[in-house]
Amino acid sequence: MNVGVVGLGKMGMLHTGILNTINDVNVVAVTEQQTMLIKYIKNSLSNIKVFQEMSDMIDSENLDLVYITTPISSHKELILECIKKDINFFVEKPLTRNLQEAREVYPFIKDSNLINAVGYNLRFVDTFLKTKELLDNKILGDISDVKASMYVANIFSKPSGWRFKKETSGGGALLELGCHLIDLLLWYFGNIKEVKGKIESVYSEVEDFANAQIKFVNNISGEIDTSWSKEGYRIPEVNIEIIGDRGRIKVNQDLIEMNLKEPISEYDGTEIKIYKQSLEKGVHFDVGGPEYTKEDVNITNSIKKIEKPFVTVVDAIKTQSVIQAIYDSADKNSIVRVEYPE
Amino acid sequence: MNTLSKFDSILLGDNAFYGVDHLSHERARQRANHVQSIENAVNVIKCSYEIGIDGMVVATRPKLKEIIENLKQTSNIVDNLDFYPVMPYAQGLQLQLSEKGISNMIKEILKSGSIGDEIKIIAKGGIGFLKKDMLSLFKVFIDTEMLKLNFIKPKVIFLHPVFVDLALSLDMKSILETFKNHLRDNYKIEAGLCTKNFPWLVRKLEEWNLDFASIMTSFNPVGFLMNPSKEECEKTLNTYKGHVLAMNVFSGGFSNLNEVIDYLSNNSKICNVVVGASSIEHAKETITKLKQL
Repeated sequence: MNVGVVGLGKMGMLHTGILNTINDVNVVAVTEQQTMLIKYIKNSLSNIKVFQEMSDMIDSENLDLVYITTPISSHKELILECIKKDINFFVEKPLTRNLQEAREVYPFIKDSNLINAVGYNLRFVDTFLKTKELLDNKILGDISDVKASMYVANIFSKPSGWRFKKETSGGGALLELGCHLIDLLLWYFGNIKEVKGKIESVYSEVEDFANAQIKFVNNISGEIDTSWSKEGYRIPEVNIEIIGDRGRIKVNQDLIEMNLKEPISEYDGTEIKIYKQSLEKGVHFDVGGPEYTKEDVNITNSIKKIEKPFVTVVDAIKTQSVIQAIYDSADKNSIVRVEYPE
Repeated sequence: MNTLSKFDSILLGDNAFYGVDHLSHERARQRANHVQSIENAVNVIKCSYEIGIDGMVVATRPKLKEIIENLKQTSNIVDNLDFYPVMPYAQGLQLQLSEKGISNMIKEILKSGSIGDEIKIIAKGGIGFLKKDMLSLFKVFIDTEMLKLNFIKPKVIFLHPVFVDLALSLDMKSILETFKNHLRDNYKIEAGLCTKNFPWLVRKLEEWNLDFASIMTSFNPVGFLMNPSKEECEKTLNTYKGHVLAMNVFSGGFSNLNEVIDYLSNNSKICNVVVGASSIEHAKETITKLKQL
């Protein structure tokens, strides 16, 4: 399988590395603008061709798959070009800067046979996968409430770079981190019908803090809170608390804690802890975390077997719809209904 | 040399001083204030030395200097400890990348007032050149990391797994080679590699005809961070001739002391270990047991 990677920033490098280690998968071409990297690749990685533009790379190479790992402002055009050129693609999260751009992609992808995937890789984290299994098995009975947060201690002074300008990034902590939470919650509980959001900028032009009260179509109530300026969070940390009529689950990347009203057959007692160490099986190669490896294996396998990857563009458009509703709600200071493309 | 124990060396890791906890980041935050105190770190090091550690694995964190200086002021053990730094401090790098972006970070490294005169001279004459040459930039990067270690005498310096495993996956032999040669030629220090992919690394080093003073990688009872599997890592360890330093022996806090002691007793090829301790009691319990093996 021949893969081309667009953009060799942090995520591009990471995916190129992982893809390189998967059997029968070869990264044969990349696009990059930085002179230093181009020179290094030409000198040291002679089996990879370097292009300036994605369209030239697709036209010149016989590619089975393209990885789009450029800044978000270029995502829409690159996705549309992949669709036009009939080439399978993966795009890093979030999908686009805003819902408008996502809506422009939607008509071309909703009935497409192309394999398309989006980098919401928290779904591949063992504790979150296991939680999905527990919820599907109705361990908690009927769910009434959920509370989810994602924090990291990164930004405490005026930052620079495309990520922190509204025009180039489309948004701040909500779009960058909160999108992961929303993706997980939509996967767990189905569509969100309405939101009441608020956002706050302290250090950057985009929001550094975001919060939203949410209501799902199935009437589960919830709250999302996120920030990249939260002291004490050395690495990005997701915490989700789910309450049902049979008990509650608290889950993060490390651990699932269950408090059940009645014991169930699979576990001893009513207070159960499941650590990631007991769920983790090694991956064939780990760089950046096993979830990235699993994600790339899932996508390349989807192409080999011609089946739907775990997270598709249509899934990501739903996430984008919720994010937009939170921005709109914060702007209007009122409850906003989430409008999903039809 | 630790002649009375099964181990050639028992090292103390410094992660626990900063509240790093692989079992639960939530728990780490809750106890961060206690374990992060300089006084606590210094006391744990002194206690571990008394019991018989041979050295320390340290990250190039800003707080390291404070800890070592305090240790120097209050004891004379620093000269008796072997230091095994891991560079770069990946979280710090990530923070800088997030706040400044890669271009600004490179500019700041090159113009930094904290950089030694020699490097400043190179940088002054060659910013343009460095921006075009990744390996030269990597050497300057190593030099800036070395400035964070000018108060200790490292025995072996390890490259962080983020760099090693990325270089490995991208077939970037030159990155690992440059790391080794630059440390040897400019600092007369041997280089080591940290990895989460031990068998893959060993195969590649053989293919590239490269060797390193040590490889630091995970070995523990449950296979935590042992890729592709516990069995494969142990198989490679049994045949690998080089020096290996076992880390994460407590499976990131998941395995208890008895399980770890059992595991280590049954693996005769594990001769060097690094363990963390967040308190004096913790250090006493763990290191004493290891010494008795």
